[in-house]
Amino acid sequence: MSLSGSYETKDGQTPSGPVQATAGRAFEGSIKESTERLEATPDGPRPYTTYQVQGTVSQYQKVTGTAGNLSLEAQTR
Amino acid sequence: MGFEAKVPSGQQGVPNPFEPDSMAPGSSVTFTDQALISRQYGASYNLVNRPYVTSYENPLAEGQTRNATAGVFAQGKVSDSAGVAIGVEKLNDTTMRVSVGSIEGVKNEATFGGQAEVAGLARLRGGVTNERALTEYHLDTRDFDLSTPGGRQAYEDFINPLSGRAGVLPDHDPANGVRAGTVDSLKVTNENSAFVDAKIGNFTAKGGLTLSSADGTVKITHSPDGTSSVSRSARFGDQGVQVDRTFAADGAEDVSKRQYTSLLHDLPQGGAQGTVLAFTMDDRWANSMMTRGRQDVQMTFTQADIDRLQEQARQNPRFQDTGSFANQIGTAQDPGHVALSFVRGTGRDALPWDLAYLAVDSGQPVPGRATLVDRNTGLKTRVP
Repeated sequence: MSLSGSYETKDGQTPSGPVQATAGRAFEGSIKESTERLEATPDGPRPYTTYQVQGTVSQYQKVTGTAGNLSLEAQTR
Repeated sequence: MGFEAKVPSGQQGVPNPFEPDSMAPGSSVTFTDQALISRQYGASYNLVNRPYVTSYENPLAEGQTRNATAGVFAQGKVSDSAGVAIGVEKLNDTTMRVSVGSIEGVKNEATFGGQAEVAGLARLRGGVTNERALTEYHLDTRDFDLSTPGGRQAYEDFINPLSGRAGVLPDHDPANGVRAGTVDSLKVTNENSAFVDAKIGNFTAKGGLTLSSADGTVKITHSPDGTSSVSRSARFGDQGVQVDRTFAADGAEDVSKRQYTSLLHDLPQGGAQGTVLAFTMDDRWANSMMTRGRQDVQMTFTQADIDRLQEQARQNPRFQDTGSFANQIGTAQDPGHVALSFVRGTGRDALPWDLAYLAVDSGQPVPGRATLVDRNTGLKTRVP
């Protein structure tokens, strides 16, 4: 399948849908990516990023998208 | 639908709690939307080959083995009201933590057993005027030990909509790999100075820092044996501080377990040089850091380390300067102010060299330890 939308982002940007799948709208919403942060662990500092996902997945569709290093694949039946 | 995924850098993809072995330690997914959990949870993950993946609206979909009408988390302690929070976190290679509860205001001090530090969470709330920035959780938790058959089965039962026990937290049963607890968490982003002042001390001394890039968390974890751990953290741009404390059932703190942590994100080579010099007094080792990449740095101190560091600071000539690090840590009267003294208004490079100056001036390394991780190569350097 192909996507006409994209979730490729840089830090701090907020992409928003809809992402278009070939068979119609599959995911409409937004993915908000935080800037990278550190957390303390017994092994030392660990960087991480959080992603807030808000939206709707339509039925009978499959969609993939990425935001930074986050990939989202959704399918409903 | 709505959820928040926490992904350690270098990892790809949404953490998938249905495949816990594939989740990276430190990764988590937190859901705050009941509709997602009951109806679209499966839709958010690549679960097409799992027999229990189905749509709430279409229970007879192909591949379905039986009707999963209740959804994953429709049972148990999760209410139907808005403001549900469910978290699945990979704590380490073999432990999954599930947190279930409602997002709501912390009810009252009775929740916290009268422990002074813990009760402080309720007081902190009074210092927050920007309620929109505030998220509070009271969560029941279960830690599942996946290295034990009992723990793995219990996790599978909790997460699998067809198990008949989906969403139902099992009893505390450490012999079978299930440990129960509760967590009270208070989280703010873009908070105002009132909160920061209430949480870790006077913020006004940090005029060079940008409040809009700050956030803070207070997390209180209660164990079945009555002990509680309190973790308070704050982040100011690329600088973070954290204080971890442990309290017995009677409210007395085990000070020997108190730990202070400073986190410095993406530290340039010069800051790494200062860090190694501070903790080792080894010029050659310190200078070698100039040939490395930028570093993420974690410094940790016990209370005994802080006691020694404060003594070192008070004997330093810079102690007379009230704006100096030596003065700020040397005069810090409580854990919150000690932690805040590690946040330097002049930037993330400042703390390593403030510590290095203390070491050089006194002729001995500062107490505590640090771990530096090269952001390019992942190489870890532990000092001393």
